[in-house]
Amino acid sequence: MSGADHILRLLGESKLCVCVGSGGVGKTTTAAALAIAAARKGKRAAVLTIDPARRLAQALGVEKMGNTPSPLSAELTSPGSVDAMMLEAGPALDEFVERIVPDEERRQRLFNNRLYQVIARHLGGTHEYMAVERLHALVEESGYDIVILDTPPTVNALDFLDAPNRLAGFFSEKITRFFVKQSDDRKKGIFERIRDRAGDLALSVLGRALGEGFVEELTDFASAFQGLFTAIHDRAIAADKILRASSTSFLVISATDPVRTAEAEEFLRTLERLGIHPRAVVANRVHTQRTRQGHDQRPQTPEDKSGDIDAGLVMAALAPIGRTAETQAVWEALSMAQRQQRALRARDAKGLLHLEKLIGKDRVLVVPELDEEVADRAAVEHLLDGLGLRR
Amino acid sequence: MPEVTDERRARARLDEVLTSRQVVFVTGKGGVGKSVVSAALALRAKELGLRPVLFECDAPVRQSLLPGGKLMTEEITEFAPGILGINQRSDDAIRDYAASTLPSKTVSDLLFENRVARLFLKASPSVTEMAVIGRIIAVSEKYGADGPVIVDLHATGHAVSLLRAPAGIMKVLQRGALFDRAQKIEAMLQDASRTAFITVAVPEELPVTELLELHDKLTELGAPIGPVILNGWSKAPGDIDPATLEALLASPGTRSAARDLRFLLIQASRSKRERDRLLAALQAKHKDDVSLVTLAARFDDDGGLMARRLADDLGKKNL
Repeated sequence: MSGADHILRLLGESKLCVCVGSGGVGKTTTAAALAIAAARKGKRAAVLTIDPARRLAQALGVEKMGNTPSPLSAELTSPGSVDAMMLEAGPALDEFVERIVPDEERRQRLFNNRLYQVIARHLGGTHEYMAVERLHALVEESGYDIVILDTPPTVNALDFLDAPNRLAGFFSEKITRFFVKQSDDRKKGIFERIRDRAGDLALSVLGRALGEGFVEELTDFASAFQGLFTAIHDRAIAADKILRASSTSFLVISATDPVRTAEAEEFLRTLERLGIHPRAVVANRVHTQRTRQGHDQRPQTPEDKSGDIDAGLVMAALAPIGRTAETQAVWEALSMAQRQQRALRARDAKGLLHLEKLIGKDRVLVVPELDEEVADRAAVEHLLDGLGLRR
Repeated sequence: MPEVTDERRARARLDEVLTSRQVVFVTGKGGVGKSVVSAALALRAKELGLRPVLFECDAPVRQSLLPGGKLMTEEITEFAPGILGINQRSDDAIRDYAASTLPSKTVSDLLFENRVARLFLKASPSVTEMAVIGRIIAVSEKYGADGPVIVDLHATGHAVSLLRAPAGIMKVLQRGALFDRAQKIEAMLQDASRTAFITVAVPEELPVTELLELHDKLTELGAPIGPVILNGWSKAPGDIDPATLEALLASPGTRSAARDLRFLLIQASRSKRERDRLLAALQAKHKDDVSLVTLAARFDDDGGLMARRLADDLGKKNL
């Protein structure tokens, strides 16, 4: 089975496909291409990016993309369909609060809370939490056959995998009790009273360290969320289940230079450690030997010196246009280009071998570097070409 | 190399920044070679007679990006000859942060052992950023006299969230010990005599565009910017006109090499186009305050070798 067959089979079997990998390896483009590939096989697909770089719109030629689904043109996706979405932390968090806090006054109190404002708008890091929430809704409730998820590069992506656990931990009922003032002390048992003392102590320490106003804000923040913690907690647990379901597959996207292959190895190792078994690797922008047929699957090895250019051949090629006087200059340019390309091919051959050793040769889809500089849309088509789904 | 005088001036400026600043942040879009460039800057600083510290944040465990370098650890060590290195885990930074800002170890232990407090600290992003900055400052206070702390930041967003963190903390706290500290940190991040933000791009459309957008944000946040490093620049292989290339592609004996040449010509023309665009935009944004260092593309199959070659390029006398 080839890498392409393997990935097509994955798309057929999965409800959720998560693309992880370092920055600059074409992750967003690959996610878009996979969604279109699934659609061309007749699926209702969605592609979601939680990358704050937000380049998916450009890759797909969609004018404007936001929290609501933007359908791609049928010409691109038929017989299936692709909805593309981006996730913006601020609005997504507000939306989430609107859904779970029906009471207008409480909602406004929360929106006005400085802590909430800071978390929602001024700082990074909430992407992961909200992505998990969105993911749950998309996979479970929206009726898509498959959801393709584009993740932020490196460290953030791994945070994302851990987000449900952290979220569940943060919003567990026990924790809220430290913050939320209990109205009726008499109904409690002795242990609960002791625990409350511990909570008070923690709060007073926090107050001294962080400033008194902060604890009030914190308590207020927690009170506003009171009763909703369980809902968030349950959602986070459900989202964690989704990430670990057998219908979820993880793909590692990589380039074949030495730094990126090392990073891909680290991704694979981290996923395994989290109990997730990545199913395939997409090796993007691989420099391969160019032949008359287009691209060879195998890049040239360093030992292979075939095809060295010689001045006689250059002169023969320039004779028909009467430019043999340029032979020396042209020969030098050709030699320089050849040396450079050979170095690149040798480097990529080594990188590709490394990736194949990590996951198995038949699980690596090789996407050759294009001859020409192309727009994002053409890069998507090129990937579809690699999957045998070009129109 | 285009405009040799400008390039010389830019490299002299880079050397000066490495020599005079305590903390040098390296940032840019993912995939532009930030880590290799950071390693090359550390090598360059060493060659300038300094004792630099290479500071990685939550870097995946991987081979050292310095020739002869050991694996980077969470403790500060001399991980390559003459170069100190640390791979800071943010969890450890948060713990350190609590210990350094609280009145006593008992209180900080109490706070950190408390599940609520710990979760809150971890879950609120500004605290993580502040803790990491706190570690960077601590390292620079200890070793900064001998050379710069070169901080390899994650993708572009990380620099911005670092810079925003003090204001975020100040907004929430309004007063108190941490407020004062945040204020000091913000002043330090904005101080052009102590700090520099070196931005890195490759000559492709998105990385250049993202770098320019980042410059707007950094300017807005008062960060001292520069120099800019354009990595992976391709030199044009001489003037080859389209008719010549066509003839070479048409002839079976030269076809394969001509395809390589066509590829290189495309790379070189893109390099020129994006470099011109970057230069013009930098000029418009910063006048002559921000200079551009251009580094030729490297295709080494080993990260350490690549860092070595880039450092050699930075020290090159004949441009």
